[in-house]
Order: sequence, then structure tokens, then C-alpha cells
Amino acid sequence: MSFLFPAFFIGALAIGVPVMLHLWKREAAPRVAFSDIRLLGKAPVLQTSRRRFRELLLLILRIAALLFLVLAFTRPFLDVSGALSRDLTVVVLDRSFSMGGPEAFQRARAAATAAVVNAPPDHVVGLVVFDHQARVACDATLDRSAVVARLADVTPGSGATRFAAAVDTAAEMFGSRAGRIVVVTDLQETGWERTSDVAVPPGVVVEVSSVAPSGANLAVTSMKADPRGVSAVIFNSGTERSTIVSLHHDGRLLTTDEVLARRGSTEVNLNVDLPSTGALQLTVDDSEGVPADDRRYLILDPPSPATIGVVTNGGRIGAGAFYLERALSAGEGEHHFEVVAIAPDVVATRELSGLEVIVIIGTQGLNRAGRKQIAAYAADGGGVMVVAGPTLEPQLVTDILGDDLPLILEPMDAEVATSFSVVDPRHPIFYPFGGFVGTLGQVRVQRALHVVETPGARVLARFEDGTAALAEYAVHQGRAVVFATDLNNDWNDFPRRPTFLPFVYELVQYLAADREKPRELTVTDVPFGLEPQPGPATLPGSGRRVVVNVDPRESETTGLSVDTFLSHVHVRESGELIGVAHRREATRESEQSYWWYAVLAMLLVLVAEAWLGRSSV
Amino acid sequence: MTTAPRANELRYLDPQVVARIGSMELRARTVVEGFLIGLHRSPHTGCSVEFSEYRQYMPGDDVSLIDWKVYARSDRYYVKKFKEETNLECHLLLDVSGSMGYSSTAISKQEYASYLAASLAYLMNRQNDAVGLIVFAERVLKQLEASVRPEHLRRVLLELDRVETGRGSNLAKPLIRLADALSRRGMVVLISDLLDEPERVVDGLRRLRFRGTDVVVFHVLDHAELTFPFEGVSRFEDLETGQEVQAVPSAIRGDYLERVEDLIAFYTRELRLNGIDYRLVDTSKPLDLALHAYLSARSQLY
Repeated sequence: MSFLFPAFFIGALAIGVPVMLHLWKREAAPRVAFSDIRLLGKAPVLQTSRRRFRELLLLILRIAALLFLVLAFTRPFLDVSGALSRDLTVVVLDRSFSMGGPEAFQRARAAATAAVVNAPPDHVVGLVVFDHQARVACDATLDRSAVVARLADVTPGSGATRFAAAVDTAAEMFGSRAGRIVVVTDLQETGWERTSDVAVPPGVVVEVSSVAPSGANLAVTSMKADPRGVSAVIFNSGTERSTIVSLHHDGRLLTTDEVLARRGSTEVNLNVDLPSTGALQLTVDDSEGVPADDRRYLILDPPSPATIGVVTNGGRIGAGAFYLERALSAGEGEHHFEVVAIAPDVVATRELSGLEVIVIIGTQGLNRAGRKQIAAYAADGGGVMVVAGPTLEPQLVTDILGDDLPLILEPMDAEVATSFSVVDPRHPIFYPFGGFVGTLGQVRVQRALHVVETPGARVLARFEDGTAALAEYAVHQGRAVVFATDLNNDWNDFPRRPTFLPFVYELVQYLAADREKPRELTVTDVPFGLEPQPGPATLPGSGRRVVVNVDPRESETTGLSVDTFLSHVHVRESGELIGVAHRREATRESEQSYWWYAVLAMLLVLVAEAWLGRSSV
Repeated sequence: MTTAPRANELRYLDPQVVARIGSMELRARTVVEGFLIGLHRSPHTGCSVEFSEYRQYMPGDDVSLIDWKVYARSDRYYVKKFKEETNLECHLLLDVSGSMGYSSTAISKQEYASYLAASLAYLMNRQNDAVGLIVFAERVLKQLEASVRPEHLRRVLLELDRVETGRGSNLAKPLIRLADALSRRGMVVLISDLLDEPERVVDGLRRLRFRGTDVVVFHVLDHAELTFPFEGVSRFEDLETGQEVQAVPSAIRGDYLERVEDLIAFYTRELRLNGIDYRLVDTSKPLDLALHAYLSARSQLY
């Protein structure tokens, strides 16, 4: 039996406590000679011999309870087969979709099988399979036939090659042991990312069994819809050849075309009237290459509008948000917004996570819980826009974002006619204005709040007196923008200026950028709950339709040299080794979870102790 | 006729005072003489059937002793004088089991019992009764046959002075042995704490009684045994078995006293039913109470 945390055995010294108590307590009661203790017989007394035996039993039970507790903390586990102590050979098999070419995976499986069978006789053998994720398909075992049988079940998937995860997973199987890692792969060049070097324990040798990729592979690497139909890019890693391209809409064939695919990338345009909704599938006929990248999907559904929550007094748009609502509702396409008015007093109970941006215009009735809710929304990556105006209570705004947004809004000393000018025209809000950014200066401002600049503020526009007109603040993962005057034609004439609409759009889009809803995902980044398979899919939770495509980088057949591969692998420091060994043992221990039995035994012992203790009172 | 003893005389009946006297013989004499002074009655008032002489009647003599036949012949009053003798054979059974060693004061139950036995022996000898002694614990430790000779009394007192506390307790055994050995009627005085199986004790005494022996039982108990005055959690160690029990006295006092009362009530009832004189003796009380009990029992014989 081994122990994950043997240091906890020091805790066994605690048994000295009940032992000392036992010895100390023994002489607690004075001894009194008496003529005949039979006369005390039916009284609530305890025969000394029985009492001593009972106390000894209680002591034993208490010590046992402590030892079981210590045992539970040491987290015992069994290594019956010696799989944790013998040297190890881990075969790491690449099952990314680039391995899916004709016979390529059979060759890879054969190479992996050979690595298993030919592993040194005294080694235990394990199996790791990987694409962009790695998992232990077979834990370290002496039963090589079981590993070979497991290899027979492995098939190429749709994922992309990521060597780091694979070598890391294999390295963690070693713990403090020595051995070999045999990586069976097509050495996809994109398998190593720039910062993805890994380390293996000392005494572990990494070997690479290279499997030649398919030489001539056609892949659809991109696809987009345009007014004429569909344009796509086909990548040919082989020699120039003709191929058939097919376009399907929700399983129905729309059109086919013969295309001459030159070596490298070829743009294909298919002129076809596209429906406004549904999913497109573009397929290229490729019998020689890997099948997973022969098709690509595109969603035609119009993007769902970004939902903008506007906090106004009483939840009425007319209370300071009329022009803003009109401007946002007029947008189309990427500027399609849905405005939801929210009363300040219901913010606390409303779900805010579905909002792309929260615009705070009115604060009457905004309680502490509501302010905390908005602060949490911003901290979680949400965009918050604070618009000064007659209905905004500056001290509440400060309270909303607290230390994360050390913003101080103060009333200006007097009403003065002024204008603002952009400080940084390259900022995403003002960049689309291009040379017209100066027209924002035509806005006449009669009244504004004084935004006190704090070290965390980034001023984007200033009034003529130099005070901040538009300032941006980072709030954890989110951001907030404060506009020092209003957007409702009360304190300025901005809503009547032609620049109002693009300013509002760009401002809102900028704030919503972190919460964009992607319509296309790759297999490598599907969210939890969604099957990582190419094709149309519905996102769990939101019910939004998306398409999942393979990672186009995986279609690159450029291979690494073995030396280049190995240059990404380093030997781990001994301290790291302990950590890895510990993780491996922790895995084994968590599989066995014997500590529960120790806890259970301790509880039983404590119950017995309580019963025994109570029965003699 | 008895009168209450004066305080100065009574102090010689206090067991703690007696315990300070040097020898057992002196103790016995002190007790008995003190007792008799208090009693104001001649120790020589013996009874006999053997005629000794006639003596002219003197005022104050018992009128019942006048020999009316002599008066008829001589017209003078003569009273009969009888030679003092006794046919009473008295055996003292002294329990020296471990439990008799218990004492809550300066004097243990065994010491008290020894003084009592010595006093009784002295008193018996003074009244020309034959005195025997059996000292026992779980077995008979010492046995002296009954005799009226003065040197025998000294032997008895010497043995009582030497007696040591035994270990176990078996009351029935000496009773049975004595019942088998007694050849003539007599008196048996059992001095014990009777902390044995009550039924066995009564059976043994009953056997003696069936043989016509008069039995007086002095049930000697320490004052603490009768009141259980202990406080605080204590470990009670049995003086005979060495066993210990831990108890909270306040919690068990009621039960304990009830048991002791039951035990005393049992002995009182069973022994009385069998014609046995039972006396409960508290070792904190003077010895004369026990002597009174003896004389009372003896007077019933004649």
C-alpha cells in the first residue's frame, strides 16, 4: 500500500493525547476501602475490572479513530500490479483528422501496436490518444494485449493536432519512473504552438514514430456568402487536379461545379441564389486525401440583434433614452440592436447575462443589490455605458462600480456652452469616422457633469476646458464608458447632429465586442455541452444555431522534422517531477478512493466509542 | 434493678477509650467492672443446685430463700446458701474476615468486636460460666474449648489480643463445625458483621438453634456503613476481594442505605423467628449495650 500524503502520518502523534488523558484520568477518583462492595451492586457503579477494561477499550477505540483519520488524510492507494513503480512505455497516438487519409491511420495504428509489443519486457505500457485534446486510453498495465485491443478501437476524429497536451498527458503517467514516450504522428507543423513547449520527467526518453501524411489532400479552408452566392477557398496540398465542388442547403443540393484546384489555395465562386436562413455545406470531392476537411459549413441565419439594456427611471424609454432608443432601433445588419428598458428598481432581480451592453441613464430606485448586480455584470466581461443627464445620480454610479471603477462625477460649476473633441481618433469608437471625426466637435454642449480623472481612466474625448467628455475604464474582464453629458437633447444638441447615429452605433458595438455571439465555431473551441463534430449545431442554453467546422490549419500537410519536434520537449526539473508524480499517484488514489473506507471506519469506531462511553455513565 | 451509669464510669465503656488501654485483660476488666458498677448488681448472684450451708436470716435477705421446714423445726428463720457453680458453656464466635477490618474512625469493627468478646469472656468467667473462643474468617483460625478456669480466661484474652484480620469470609463453616462439636446445651455468641450470604448465615445459626443452643448474634457495623457519609466520586475497594467499583456516593446513597436496611431487617426477622437474639451494634456506640444484651439473653436461660 502506498500513500499520497505520507507526511500526515505525523498526525498519528496525536494518539498521545488520549493516551495521556487515559493515564491521567486513571487516578482521578480517590480510593476508599469498603467492607463489602456487593452492597453497592445495583447502584450505578462500574466494577473496576470492567471499568479498566472499558477504559482500555475506549482508549483503543479513540486511538483507532485517530489512526483512521490520519489514514484517511494520507490517502492510501494500492499498486498491486506494480504499475506505478515499474518503468513505463507510453504510446501516444495521433488521431487528429489529418491522420484520416487512406491507409494513413492503419499505418499509424500498426506503428503504435509495434511500439506496444516491442516495448522493453520489464516495462508496463500505457496508451494516450490525442488530437487537440489528449486522454489516457489505457492506463499503465502489464497486459499489453489489452493495450493492443484498445488501439483497435481508436479511430481518427475531427480535431486538430496539439502535441503539447499529448506529451503532457503522457509525461504525467510517469510520476517518478523512467521510460519512453513513443509519439506516433504525422508531425503536423501546426501541432506545436509558439508557447507550447513541454517537459518530461528525467529518465524519460521521447521517441517519434513518423507516419507519412496523405500527399494529395483537398480541403475547403474557408467559405462565405456574398450577394452573388458563395465564395470559398480550396487548398490543394498535392498536384493540380480537377475536382467537383457541391453546395448543399440543409441537406438539399443547390449546385455543383467542376473546379481546377491548383497546388495551394484556389478561390471558388458559386453563383447561386441563397435562402435567407439555414445552413450551407460546401463539399469538395477528394478520394485521395483526408475526408474531414472535405466539407465546410456556413450559417445563413441573420445574426440575432445585440440586446442593449437601458436603465431608465421607471423603465420608460421616454425618461432620458428616447433618442438613444430611436437610434439603436433603426440599425440593420451588424448594427441591429434590440433595446430593452429596465427600471432601476428591478435590476437586482433581472437576469443581466443575456445583455450585450447596459446603458445607465436613470438611477432612481437603484438599490444596493441592483448596483452589485451591475458591478458583477461588468466584472464578468460586460460592457457598461454611463450617460450623464438629469436622471443620473452621480454618487450611485460611483457606488455601482466601486473600487473597480474609481469614477467621480461632480456637477459642473456653471452652465457653459462648450463642445468636445476626440483625443484618440484611432480608438475603435472613432476610427470608423475617419476624416470626419472632427465633425463631432460641432455638438454644442450646454451642461455636463465633471468627470474627475482617476489613474484607471482613459480619456477618449475632452471638452474645451480640458475636462473629460468621454472616458473609458477597465473593469476586470469588462469595460465601462462614461459620457459626461446626456444623449437626449437635454444638455446638448447631439441627437440632432448627423454624427449621433454612428457615434452611438460604434460606442455600443465597442462595448458589446467582448460579448459577441459567434456563428461559426471550430471543433477545437466548441463550448461545453456541444459535440465537437463538424456540422450545424444548436448551442445549449441559448438555443442559437451555429456551425462547427474543422480547424483549417490542420489541412496543412507540411510536416516537422523529428528534431524540430524534439526541440519542443525539455527535461523537467526535479521539483516539477515531484509534482507530476504526485498527480499521477493522486489519479490512482482518486480512482480507488480508499480514504472513504478509512473515514467510514473512523465513524464506526466513533459510534462504538460513543455507545461504549454512554453505556457506562 | 439497674440505674444509669455516671459519666466518669461510662467513659470506660467508650470503645475509643478502651482501645487506649494496654492489654486485652485490662480492657476487659475495665469494661466489665465499669459496666457492673453502673449496673449496681452483685456479680456473684450465681445460681446453683448444690447446697452449701444455712445462715440465719438477716434483714434484707430475700424472703423466698427462707427454709420454711427449718423454721418449722427450730422456729428460727434460716436462709439456704448454695455453692456457686454454673452449667453454662458459652462459646464466643469472633469473625475476623477482611470486611471486619473496616473502620471509618480510629477503631475498626474487628477491634470493637475483640473488645466486646474480651469483655464478654471476662464477664462470663466472673460469673463462673465456661468460655470458649472460635476465631474465624473464611475458615476457623483459632479454637479454644470452653472452660471456667481463670488461666483459660487469660488464654482467651491473649488470643483476642493477638487476633489479626483475615481475608475472605465464610460464616456458615464455623457455625456448622460448632453445631457438630457441641455436646451439651450452651450459649453461642456470634460477633460478626454478617457480610456473607444472609441465607447461609441464618441456616448455620438455625442449625445451632435446633440443637438447643441459645444463640446471641452481635451484628457489628461501622457507623459509616450505616450512614454512607461519603462524598465525591470514589473508587470503593472491597476489603475481602480487592475488587474496586467507581461510584458517585450521592447517587447511590439511597440505594445503598435501602440495601443495608433490608439486610438488617432480614436478619432481625429471620433470627427472631428462629429464637435467636439479634443485636445490631454500632461501633461508635459504647460497649455496655452489648453487655446488656448478653446478660439479657443469659437471664432468659435461668
